[in-house]
Amino acid sequence: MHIDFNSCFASIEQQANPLLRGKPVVVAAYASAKGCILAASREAKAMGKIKTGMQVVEAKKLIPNLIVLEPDSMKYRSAHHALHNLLLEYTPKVEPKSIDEFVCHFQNFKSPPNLKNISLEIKQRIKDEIGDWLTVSIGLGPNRFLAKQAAIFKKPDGLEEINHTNYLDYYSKMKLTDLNGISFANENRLNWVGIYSVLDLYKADVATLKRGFGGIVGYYWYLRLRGQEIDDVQHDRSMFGSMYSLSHPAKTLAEASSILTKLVEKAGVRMQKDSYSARSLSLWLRLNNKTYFHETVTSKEPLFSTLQIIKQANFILKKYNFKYPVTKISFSLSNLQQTKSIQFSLLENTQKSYDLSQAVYKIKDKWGQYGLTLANMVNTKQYYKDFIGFGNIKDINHLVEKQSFSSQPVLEELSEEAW
Amino acid sequence: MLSKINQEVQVDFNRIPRKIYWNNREYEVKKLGLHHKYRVGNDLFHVFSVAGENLFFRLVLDAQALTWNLEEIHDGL
Repeated sequence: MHIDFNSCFASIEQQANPLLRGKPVVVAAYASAKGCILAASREAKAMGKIKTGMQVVEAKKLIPNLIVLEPDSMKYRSAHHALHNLLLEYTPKVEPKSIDEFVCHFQNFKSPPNLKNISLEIKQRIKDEIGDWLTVSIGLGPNRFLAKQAAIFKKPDGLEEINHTNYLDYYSKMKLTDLNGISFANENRLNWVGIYSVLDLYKADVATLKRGFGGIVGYYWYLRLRGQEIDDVQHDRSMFGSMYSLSHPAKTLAEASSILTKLVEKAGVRMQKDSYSARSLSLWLRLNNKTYFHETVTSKEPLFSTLQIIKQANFILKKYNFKYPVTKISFSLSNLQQTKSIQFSLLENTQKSYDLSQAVYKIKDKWGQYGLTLANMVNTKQYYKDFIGFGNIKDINHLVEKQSFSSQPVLEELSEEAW
Repeated sequence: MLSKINQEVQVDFNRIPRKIYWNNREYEVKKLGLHHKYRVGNDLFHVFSVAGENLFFRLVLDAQALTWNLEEIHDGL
């Protein structure tokens, strides 16, 4: 079962604010003209063909009375947890795929559950227990891919099942680019080998698919379209990163450094919380002449303390001469290792540094991210907002209070706690 | 239009906020849109998104200090 919140961020904002319901609303990274739209309400989509990725200024040309809101990440994380907890009541195997998508597995049940009835019940419970304005599209299928295709098939508020009796019917109604994972470039390549429709793709032999996709991927498509599960892959954490687009380009080292320090701090705290250390640091700057500065350094010793990482990151930043102002800063920590397995150097007092970083982490855990602040970060709070990536769910547990999202009066626990 | 307020206010509370006293006026809460919580370190905050007749209020209750902060209002336009 694939479950997908419809117009996720925008619908949650309409859930929170009843005065926005039935109106064209978008959530944009920034409410300013150049802000990038992250989500559009179903009204905005219907009225003006507003799409994710559009700039606010373009959207307002299509809908002059468009309501633009900035994202409230904590609210969306809470909604994610509320739906996750609800789904866990139906199956122990619930896999969050992104902030607004889940896959639920119902294999190995003693008696096969009636998934259509369960889906209808989930939809109703979302309205009753999470929010009456929220809708989901649910897709049922023999594997992740087909369940997702079924969920995409009807939006909003859909419920579709692709199974062994109707798959050809569904395939005949889809275009190649409707398939999740097939871009226009893929479509062109497939056209070269005589595949023009999803039915052609299904009927093609493995050799043709390998030619069309350029290798083993073709074989994966052969299996996927026949209901075999080949997308059950768990990826290990390979990096921690953060990125920031500057509304006012940084012209000096001091300006860029204070923002970089904050990015490092954010990524470093997440890395520490998950008990990792890193050996490689990458800094990527986008400049206002549309060129880039990029450098990666790899250290001999594992880096686990935010202070060490800040020092290294600023060392890289100093290599850029600031000929052109910086419009975007991206920073990542890679070459990760679990801190449990670190072998400390005999020559340097890394144990002391490790203990200090743990103490700093504990203070922040108790007093919040800004409970302890480096001097050069004091003036940066205004610059840095808490953003949430659509695909990034690894860090979703940070900060939010679980089981905490509802449109119902749920305050028994508050009454005990507060009065 | 959304306006950031960020002022401490008085709230009549019975399971959910019922009345908000702000700027020498009393606003009756007609609908709870959403309730969610978040933490800053150990400190717990309850966020109530509520609507009156024609004004939306984002109220935040500091669960330790038991103070209410009116963070923002929106007229729905």
